[in-house]
Amino acid sequence: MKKALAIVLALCLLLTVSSAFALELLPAGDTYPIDTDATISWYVQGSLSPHDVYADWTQSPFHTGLIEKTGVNIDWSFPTTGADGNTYTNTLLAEPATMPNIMGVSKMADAAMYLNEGIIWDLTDYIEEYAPAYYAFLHTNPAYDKALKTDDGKYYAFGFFREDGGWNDSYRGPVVRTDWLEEQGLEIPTTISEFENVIRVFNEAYGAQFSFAWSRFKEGSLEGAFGAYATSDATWFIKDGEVGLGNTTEEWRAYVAWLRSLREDGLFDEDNFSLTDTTIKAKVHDDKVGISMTSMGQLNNWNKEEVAAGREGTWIGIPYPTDDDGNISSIFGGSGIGGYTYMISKSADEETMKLCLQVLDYAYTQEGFLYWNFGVQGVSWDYDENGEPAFLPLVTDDTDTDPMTKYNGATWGSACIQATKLLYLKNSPVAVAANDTWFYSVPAEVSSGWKWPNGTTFTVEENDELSLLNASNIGTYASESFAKFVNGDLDINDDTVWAEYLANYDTYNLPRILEIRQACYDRYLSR
Amino acid sequence: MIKEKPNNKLIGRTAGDAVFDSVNTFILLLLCVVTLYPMYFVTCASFTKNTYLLTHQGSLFWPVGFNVGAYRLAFTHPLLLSGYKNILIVLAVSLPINIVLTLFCGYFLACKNVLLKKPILFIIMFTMFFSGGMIPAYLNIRDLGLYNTLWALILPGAVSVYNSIICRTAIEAVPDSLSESAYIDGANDLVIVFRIILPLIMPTIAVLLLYYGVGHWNAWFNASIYLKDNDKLPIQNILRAVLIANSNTLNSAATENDQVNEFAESIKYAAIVLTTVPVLCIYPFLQKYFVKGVMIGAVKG
Amino acid sequence: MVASREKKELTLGHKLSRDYKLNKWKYVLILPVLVYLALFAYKPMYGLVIVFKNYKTTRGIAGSDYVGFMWFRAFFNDPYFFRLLRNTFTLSALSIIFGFPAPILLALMINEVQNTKFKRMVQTITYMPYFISLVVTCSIITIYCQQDGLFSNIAVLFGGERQNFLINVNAFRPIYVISGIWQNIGWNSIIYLAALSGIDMEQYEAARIDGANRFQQILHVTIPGILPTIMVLFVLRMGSILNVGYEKVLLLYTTSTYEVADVFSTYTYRMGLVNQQYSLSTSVGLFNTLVNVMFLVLTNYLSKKTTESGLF
Repeated sequence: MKKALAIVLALCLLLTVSSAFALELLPAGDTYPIDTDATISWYVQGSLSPHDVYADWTQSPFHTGLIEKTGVNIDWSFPTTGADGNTYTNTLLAEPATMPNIMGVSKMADAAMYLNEGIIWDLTDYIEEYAPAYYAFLHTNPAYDKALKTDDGKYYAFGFFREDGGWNDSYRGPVVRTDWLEEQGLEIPTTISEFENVIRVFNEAYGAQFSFAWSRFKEGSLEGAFGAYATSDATWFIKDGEVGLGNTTEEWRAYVAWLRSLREDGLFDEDNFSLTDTTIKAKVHDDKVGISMTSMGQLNNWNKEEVAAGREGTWIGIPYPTDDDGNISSIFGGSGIGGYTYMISKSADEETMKLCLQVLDYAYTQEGFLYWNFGVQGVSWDYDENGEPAFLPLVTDDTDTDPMTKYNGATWGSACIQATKLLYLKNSPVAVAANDTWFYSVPAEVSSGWKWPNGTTFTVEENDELSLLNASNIGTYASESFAKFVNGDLDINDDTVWAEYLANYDTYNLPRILEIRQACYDRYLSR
Repeated sequence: MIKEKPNNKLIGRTAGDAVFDSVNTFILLLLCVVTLYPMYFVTCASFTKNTYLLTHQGSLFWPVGFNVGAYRLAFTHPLLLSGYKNILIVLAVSLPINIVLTLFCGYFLACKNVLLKKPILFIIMFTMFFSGGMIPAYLNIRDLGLYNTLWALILPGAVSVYNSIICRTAIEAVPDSLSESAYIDGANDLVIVFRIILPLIMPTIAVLLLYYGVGHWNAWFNASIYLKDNDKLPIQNILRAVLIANSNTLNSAATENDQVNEFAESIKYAAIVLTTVPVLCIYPFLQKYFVKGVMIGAVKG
Repeated sequence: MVASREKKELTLGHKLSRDYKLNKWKYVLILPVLVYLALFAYKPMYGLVIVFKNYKTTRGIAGSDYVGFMWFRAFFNDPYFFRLLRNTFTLSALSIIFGFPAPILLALMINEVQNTKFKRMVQTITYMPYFISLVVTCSIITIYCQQDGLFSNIAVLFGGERQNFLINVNAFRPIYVISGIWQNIGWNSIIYLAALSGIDMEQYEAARIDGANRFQQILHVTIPGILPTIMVLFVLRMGSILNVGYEKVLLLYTTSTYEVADVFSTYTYRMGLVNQQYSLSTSVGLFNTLVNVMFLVLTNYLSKKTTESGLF
C-alpha cells in the first residue's frame, strides 16, 4: 500500500514536470529565412520521409514548409518507396562524389573513418558560429555532447534527441488485464512474487498463461527484479566502469531459473518463442493470456480491438516488478539519443557546408523546435487554454494513419529534439499512462545507468578484429542457450552445466571482445 | 494439323485403366483442396473485417464482415497507377528482347559442329555462378548512364542462362533433318530459327514467356536501388511498401510507430490478391500451348 | 620444327575460316548475347576481388587494402562453421530429394487426366501458391504450428501430444521442406508439362498395341520422352545445392531451433546486420559457389554417363 502510494506520488510529481517544456533553447533571432538562391541536397534514410499519401516530397507540407522557414532550397531525397534503407544508403556511399550534401544515416560507428578519408566535413571549427543553437543544446547535457563527438573530440553531425531524455525509449513493459485483477480481488503487482502470483491465479481461474510476442520480450524484460542485465539477447552492461556481458552473471542465472520454473509449471507459454505482435492477438482476444509484455502502440491496439469485438478485456501498463524487498529493478529504455545522425558530405563546398549547418541548426532553436514537432502555428497547431501546443482540426479530423507526420518531422531518426508533448498527443491516454508507469516508476540511475551508451565508436582496426573474431556468435550462443535453459534441454540449476556454459564463451572469444569493448568505453568516457 | 491425345475411352478401356484413373483423379483432387484452401483463405481474408481476422488466423470459410477497406486503402496509394504503368512498359519492352535473345542463345548452344562452341559455352555458363556483387553492379548501371531510367530494369536481365538452357533442350528435340533440308533450300540460320524452330517449340516459348514475365513482375530489388524517383517504380515495390508498412515483422521503424492502421491484417492479403490476379488472367492463354501437343502434326507436315 | 608449327597454325587458321564460312550466321546470332554478358556480367565482375581485400564502401574496391585469405580463415575458423555447413547441406539435400521429383510426379499425373477442363483446373490451382509472399506463407505456418493449432489437432487425432512444432528441433526440417513443396510444386511442373506436350502420340499407340498398360506406358514412353528435360533441370538444381535462401529460414526459425536451422545465408545476413561486411559475405558466397560448381560438374558427368543427356 505504501509502495503504491509512493508510485502515485512520484507519478504526479513527474507529470507536472513533463507538462511544461523543460528545454532552454536559443531563439532563432533574425537569421531565418536566409536570403540565398543556393540549393542544398538532403538525403534521409530514416523515418523522416513524406507521409504515405504523398507521391513525393514536393506535396509534403513539412518538407516544403522547411524550405520556406529556412529560406534555403532543399532537394530532398529518400530511399525509394519499399526499398531497404540500409542497402540504398550503402549504394549511395559507394560513389562519394555524387552523394547529397546532407547525409542522414545510421553510421555513427563509421564516423571516424569517414573523417579520416575526407568524405565528410569536420565541423569542429564551424559549429559554434554557424550552428549556435545546436552547440548550446549539446552543452546542456554532457551525455549529448559525448555521444555526438568522435573519440578525439571532433564534431561531425547533428543528432536526434528526446526532450525528457528517453521517455519514449521505454516504449514497452509489463501489462495486465484489470478486469481480471478486479474479478480475482488482486492488486496491481509491484514485486516479482506478486507478479508470479498473478500468473498463477489467472492460470487457475481462466487457464491463461504468461504469453508475449517474442520481439517484445527478448531484448530485456523482467530481469531487473533479479538484478540481472539481460534476457535472451546478448546484452553488454557497465558496472563501476567495467564492461560485462549480462548473460554470464549469477543474477541472470537466477532469473532464467525462475522462468524455467514457470515453464515447468505450465505457466510460461511454449508458443512464446514463435509469437509475434500479430499472432499474440489471437490469445489476447481469446482469454488465453492475462499478464504480458508489450509496447505502447500494441497496448492501444489490444484495447481498441477488444472494444470493437464487444468484449470486456481492458489492459493497462503496470510497473516493472522489483525484487521482494522493493529494491532493484531495471527497465528497457535509453537516454533519448537516436542512432541516426546527419553528416555533411564533402560534395558540399565550404559555402554550401555553412548553409547546411544553418539549415540544420534551425531545428534546435525555439521556433524551429516548434516547427519540427508541430508544424506551422495557426495551420496545424496552436496553443490551448493551458498554453500548451495542441493540434488543430486539420490534424485531429484527419483519418489517415499518424496524420501529424504530414506536418511535423520529429520522428525517431530525424534531426531535431522530439517534444514529450508530441508523444503525449500522438499516443492514446492509456498508452501514455502505461509509459509513464514504465518510465517514471524506476529510478533513473537503475534504469539506464548500466546501459551501453549511444554513440560509442570502434576504431577501424577494432571493427575488423571483431569481424575476424566472429563477434556475432556471442549473440547466437546467448539466445540459443537461453531457449535451452528455459525449455529444460539444459539444466540451469546444475553447476557443471552452468560452468560449461560459461566456459563455452571463451570459444567464442568473449575475453578478447570484452577487452575491445572496454577500450571503446574508456575512450568514450574520456571524450 | 494438330492431333490431340487419343481418348483411351474410345479405344477400349480396361479395368486397370479405370482404377488408375480413379486413384489419379482422387490424388489430384486432394492436392487441389490442400492447395486451394490457403488461396481461398487469402482471398476471404482480404475481404474480412480486421478484428475478426485477429482471432481466426489461418481459418476462414467465407469473408466475415465483408468489406473492401483493404483494397480501397491499397488503391488510394498515390503510386499505384504509375506502378502498374511502369511494369507494363517494362514488360512490353523486355519480353520481346528476352525471347529473341534466349532463342538465339538456345539455338547456338544446340548447334553441332561449331568450332568455338565450347569456349562460348564456358563464357556463358560462367556468368550463371559468378557475379561481382551488388555494389559493382550498381556502379556499372551508373557508369552506363542507365541510373534512374526504366532501362535499368530492362537491360540487366535481358537474357537468363537458365532459360537459354531450357530453350536449348527444346531445340535439341527438333529433328536435324528439318533444318538440314532448309539449308539445302538456301535458308540461313536466322530464317531457320524463326520459320522452323520457333513454331515447333511454342510450348517452351510459352513457358519462357511466363518465366520472364513473372520474373519481371515479381522483381523489386533492382528497382529499389537503380531508381531514384518514386514515380518510376514498378508495382511490386509499391505493394512491398504497403506490406512492410503494415507488418511488424518487417518494419524496422516499428519501435515508435507501431500503431498500424485498421486494415493492417487484411491489406497483406489484398496485396497478394493484387499480385496474383494479373498472372491468373494471363495464364490460361499460355496454358493452352502446353495442354495440347503441337509438335506431332508439324513434324509430320 | 618451324615448318611443322607453321603448318599447324595454317590448319587452325584454315579450320577457323572454314568454320566462319559455315557457321557465320550462328556467330551473328550469339553476338548480341555475348555483348550483353560482357556489359552486364563481366564488366562488374572485378568486384569479386574484394574477397581478398578489406573492402570499405567509401574507399572503393580499388582503394581498399589487400588482406589475402583473411576472410576465408575467419570463416573456416568459426566454431559454428561445421554446423552451418551441415545444416545448409541437409536442408538443401532434403529439398532436392523430396522437392525435385514432386513436380515431375504432378506433371505425369496431370498428363494422364483425360478431361481437359479438369486438367486445366488442376494446373491453375496448383501453381497459385507460388505467388503468396513468404511473409504470409510463414505467418500461416506459424499459426498452424502453435500448441492449439491445426498440426497439434492432427497430432492429437493420431494419438500424439499438443506441442509447438516451431520450437521442436525435429520438426523444423520437415516443415521447411514440405511447405516448400506445397508452394512450388505446381509452378515447377509447368516446364515438364510443356516437355510432355512434345511427345509423339504415335508412340503411345504403338505401346498400346504391344499391350502396355498405363504404368508401362508412363515408364516406357512418357518418362524417356521428358528425360532430357529432367536431367538438365536436375543438373542445374544440383548446381545450387548450397543456396538456401535466408528469408524463409529467418521467418520460421526460433532460438530453440538454431541448432538445425542456422544456415550460411542467415549467417551472412547477421554478419551484414552487425557490420556491413561485404568482404566476408562475398567470401562465404564464393565458397558457396565453388561447392555448387563442384556438384554441378559431378552431377553432369554422372548424368552423361548414365542417361546420355546433360548440361554440357
